[in-house]
Amino acid sequence: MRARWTVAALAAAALVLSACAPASRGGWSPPEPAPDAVTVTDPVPEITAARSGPLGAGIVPLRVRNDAVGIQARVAMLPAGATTDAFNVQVEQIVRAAIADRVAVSGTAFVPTPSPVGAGLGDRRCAAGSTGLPAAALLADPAFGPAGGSGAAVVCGFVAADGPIVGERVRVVSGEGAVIRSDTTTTLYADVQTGETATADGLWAEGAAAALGAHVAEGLRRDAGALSRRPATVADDAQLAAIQAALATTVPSDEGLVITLAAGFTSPDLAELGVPVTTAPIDFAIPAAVASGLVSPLGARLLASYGQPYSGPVVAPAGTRAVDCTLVPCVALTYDDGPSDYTPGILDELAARDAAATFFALGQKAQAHADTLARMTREGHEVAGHTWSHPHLPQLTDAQIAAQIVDSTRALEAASGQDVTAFRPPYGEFSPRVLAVAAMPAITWDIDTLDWQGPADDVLIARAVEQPRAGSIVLQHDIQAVTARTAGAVLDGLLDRGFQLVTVRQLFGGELPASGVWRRAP
Amino acid sequence: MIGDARRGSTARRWEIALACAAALLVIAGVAFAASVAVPPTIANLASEVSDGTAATELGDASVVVPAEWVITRDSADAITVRTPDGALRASLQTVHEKPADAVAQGAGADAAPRSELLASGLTVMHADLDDGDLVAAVGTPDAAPSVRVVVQVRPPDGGAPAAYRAAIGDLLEGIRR
Repeated sequence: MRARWTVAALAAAALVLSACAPASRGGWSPPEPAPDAVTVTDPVPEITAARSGPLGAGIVPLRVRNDAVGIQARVAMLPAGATTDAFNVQVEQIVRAAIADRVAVSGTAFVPTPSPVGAGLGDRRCAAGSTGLPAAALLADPAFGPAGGSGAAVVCGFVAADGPIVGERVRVVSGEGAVIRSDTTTTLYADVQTGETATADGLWAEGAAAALGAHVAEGLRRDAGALSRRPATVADDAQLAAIQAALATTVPSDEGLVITLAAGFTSPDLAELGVPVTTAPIDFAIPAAVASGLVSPLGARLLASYGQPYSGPVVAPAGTRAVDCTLVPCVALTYDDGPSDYTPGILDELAARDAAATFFALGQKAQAHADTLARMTREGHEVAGHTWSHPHLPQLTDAQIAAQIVDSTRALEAASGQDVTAFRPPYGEFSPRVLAVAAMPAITWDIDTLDWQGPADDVLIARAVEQPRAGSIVLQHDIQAVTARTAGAVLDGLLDRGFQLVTVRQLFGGELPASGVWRRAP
Repeated sequence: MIGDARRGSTARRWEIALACAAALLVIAGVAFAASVAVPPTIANLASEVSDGTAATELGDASVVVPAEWVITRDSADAITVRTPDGALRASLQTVHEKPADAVAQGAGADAAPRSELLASGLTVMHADLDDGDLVAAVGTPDAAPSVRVVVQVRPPDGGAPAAYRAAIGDLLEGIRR
């Protein structure tokens, strides 16, 4: 009996003691690691620069190709204005620096020169993805690189178009084939409301590099399986320089701001942890909540306006813009003897290509085509005089010459609404007496398409497209059916050769000469 | 009469046999119960739940085990801890070896121990093993002793062992010398 009680007591004690063992709790969860201040993310795609994109009507594309010095460049300017000029100057400086470098390397002076027919330079907008191409591929691609793949390529892409903030990335690669001499990317931002312009690192306040560097190092440590709770630090100048360079790549995204850390990053912490030196660029997203404490006022405005529709200025008509014909080859298309019923069609073709032209109109047609002349002014084209009735001026008396000039000038100014300050003598006939009486510069031409002879379409197109050189003035007539019919093809052909289609006034740098006879730009 | 005596003797033998069988069954049952319940019971006699602040001695070292973890003492310089959900179990033992040597013993030949400076000021060398397991040694670089930590992680329902990485960090940061 006693033995039974003993056994029972032992069993009960065992049960009681085992029941006291701390039980596993299924509802318990391990502690979450502190949230990463920055996270590795994917590269942010660029914003399309196409006409249909958010910047379509807000940029002025520029494309330069010069085989003599070995360069091809595509960049985009903003419409000229007090709040955009500083941005445009910086973009242009990048292009000019690349040209100067090529001039130094090639020993050849830079002279704007059109490319051969079929060069394919009609598309001038920043090409999607071009700033991300491998350097050698960029140089070798005829769409971006210099002829033969040796020289310099300048390409662009937009990284921001939010509210009043615009951001453009410009990359310059130079080298000979697969041998890359330099490869630099600059990301520029402008606030088109205030005019403030800065490179991407200017979006950050002082001290941001050290703070972000610690976050980046921490992120890399965690990815490598670190166990320590000790905060990462940026220990040396090399790390700081790497982060500072990454800040110069800053772009906005849905995740906040994204920076790209170039390959080759390491730190003592990472090395100790066995993390190898990075071998490829890594993109880090910095959430807006983290970034907001580290950005400059411009950076804060970028964060605040992210996602808003772009509110920058719209480009002015082509003929009213400042064009630098020392950078791009310019050509002035001129149309004589109109306006006529063909003229609106030619204006349509010009508008479709954001191109400008000069119309040497007859005074006697001004009243009947007043709407067309007014449209020319609205669309930025230049209206100049071609006398009242197209006489042989040298055969007229001084009074008759004066009447031809003055009457036509008054009529054209009244109809077009713009000042008429140049004329073209009919048939190109003039004398010192004609010039003295006219008292305004006579603009003739160096390329005569002879469209009045009624050539076949392809013949006229070839004459108008193949003959011009930089600074040429091309003579056509907007009273000829063939001229109107081929206008689009002629414009396309000239754009394809890299020409900037300008008015005569633009060809002369924005100011017509006070007098004299001019066949082409000096 | 003789027949009755025989019948009585046979019945008695059956009773004895049945009693013996029953006794054997009881003994077997008690032995089985003892083998199942006694070891954890004995272990449980040495278990406690950490409050997250009190240090547990480990010979020449000590450790502040994260709150709610269960601590079981194995010896004067060794304990076993587990998370409240039982998914992570770690044995901690003070060894008279440098951290590099201590971790090398637990890691396989293929493992490459890595070094980190802890927030505690001590250095941890650690190497990942298969299935999210890990061996670590915490101490002063190039000096003995150190605390060797061998971690096993078996998350419930096929969870990711990596989810317990921060918990391991908490445990290592609690080690003091």
